[in-house]
Amino acid sequence: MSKNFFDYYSKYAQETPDKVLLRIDENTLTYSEFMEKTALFGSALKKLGIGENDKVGLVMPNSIEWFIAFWSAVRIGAQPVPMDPQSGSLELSRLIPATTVKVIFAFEKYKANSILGAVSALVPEKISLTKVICFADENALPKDDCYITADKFVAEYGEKECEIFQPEYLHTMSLACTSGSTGTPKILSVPSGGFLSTQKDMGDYLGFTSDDVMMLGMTLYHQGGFGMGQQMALKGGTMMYQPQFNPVEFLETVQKYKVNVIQLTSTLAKVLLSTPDFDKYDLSSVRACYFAGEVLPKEIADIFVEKLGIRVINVIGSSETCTMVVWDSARDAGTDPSDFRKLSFTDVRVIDAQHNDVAEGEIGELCVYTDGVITDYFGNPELSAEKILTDDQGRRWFCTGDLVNKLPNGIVRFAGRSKRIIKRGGNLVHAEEVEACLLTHPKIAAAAVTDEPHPVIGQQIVAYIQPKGDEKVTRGELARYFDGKLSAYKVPDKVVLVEEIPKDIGKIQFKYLRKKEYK
Amino acid sequence: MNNLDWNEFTQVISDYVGVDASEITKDTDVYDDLYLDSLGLFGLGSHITETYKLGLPLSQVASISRVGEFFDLLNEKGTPSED
Repeated sequence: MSKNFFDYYSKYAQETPDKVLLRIDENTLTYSEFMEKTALFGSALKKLGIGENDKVGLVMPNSIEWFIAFWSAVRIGAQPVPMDPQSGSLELSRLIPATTVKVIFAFEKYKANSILGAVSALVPEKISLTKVICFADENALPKDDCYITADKFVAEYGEKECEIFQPEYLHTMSLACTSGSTGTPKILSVPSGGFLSTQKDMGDYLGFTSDDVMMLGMTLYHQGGFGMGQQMALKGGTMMYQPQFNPVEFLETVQKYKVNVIQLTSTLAKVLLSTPDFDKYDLSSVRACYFAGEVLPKEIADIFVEKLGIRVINVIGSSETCTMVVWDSARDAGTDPSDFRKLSFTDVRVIDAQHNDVAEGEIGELCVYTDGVITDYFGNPELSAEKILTDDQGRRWFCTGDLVNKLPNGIVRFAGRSKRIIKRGGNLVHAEEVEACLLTHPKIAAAAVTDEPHPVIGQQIVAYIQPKGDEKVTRGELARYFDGKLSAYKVPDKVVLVEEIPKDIGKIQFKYLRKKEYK
Repeated sequence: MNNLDWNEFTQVISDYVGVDASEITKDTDVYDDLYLDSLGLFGLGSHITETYKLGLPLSQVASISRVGEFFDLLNEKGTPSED
């Protein structure tokens, strides 16, 4: 059995060398170019002394270069470490030492963030790195020997041939960094064999073929967005990402390239559906839409399934596990998209605080087995012991922090993230539930709900709202709208209108939210 | 007496609850018309007392059901709070 991604990539490079593997805007990478370029960059890294288990940082947005840098490191047994290209020097000052990266691939900037500015505030004075390899013009580089342009790097060090590292099943393929909602980075050791097998199994389940084209709304530097794309690559198909999410371009791209599978979050879907002239786009090529990362309101699922005739697959997955459970309109139509079932290659338990199974009808924490469950949190044995359980058969289970209601017939109903519960007075409010209701409001394009300390009620519910166009949304209006839909105690106590809900990775990024408030 | 201005008071409430100040009268019901629950009323209470830098016992806030009562209570019983 193949257990190396490169077995698949090499095979497709031989069978369909000119087929587009990855498209980002008008930039493309074919299967044969993938093999050539990863050899070039991989051999260059080797010549720098990078080898098995060395960490290679990527501070780059969605791009062909990101993909090449990632797989060049994997090709030689090193471990790529994607970092958010919005990271500033403070975030990098934590991430770089914590991940022990030796070299970094970087873009000059991403949006308003000067990546090289953030890196050069640390390297080389405060942090020493072997090289910072920059996809930038020579004159944009900081004046220090450790900075080199990517062109010069491959010209000086690269070779055409580069051996492909054969990983053990549990070899760490990459380190994925998640900041979560707290801003403290968690670093995940992604296992080579398990990550591959779960992505392949999911691609099989979804019936992906080499003729398919998949368009992803989430990003490459987010483990979920990256993994879902791999489900298509393992079939020899084409995956597409955007440099940054733009609803009109997304729809135009789907139409132009006759995309078959799209991947969205509820927030992105809501933004897409509110695009002027949404109906004029020809989306008839789309056969499946893949939702992940947020609660999917039934209203949105219904539009896709009933109005657009698109199969909806709503998944609960995490960077730590790959896909865990799904709601699939092809199988579960008529039920709520928050009612999930396990897949043939995953297993589920609903547990209490003592790790005992809860009774049917009770709420507990979702604990999941997949072959892709991370082997550990890099450098954090305490957290690893708390979250990753190993059973008698040696299978790794992950305690997800997702709260679910255990229903008959193996169904688990999503009730919210345990860490996103707002304790408002004596009431517990699931932020996701409030968000799902807000997203059905006709004037709201996107919403994010969080808590704020309150001297009297403990925590109050704060809703950050991105209105459609110039619309104004007030708390009073929301209260009237919520009336009859949700309990009064779930009405946001405070409404903050923002220009944009930061959702770069497809999911709401709370750490950036407060900066976005209208002044 | 704290000599509070009614129009200013309704604006402070409006800012918090999102109901237009022109719709708020002394008879406005804090639960039915301002869409607050009991905790929300405490939230509004803290917002108002902070804005005016006046203190009120929570127990008295809890018994309010109309905006006029809130106004009168704050006007008559509100005591300057320490910063």
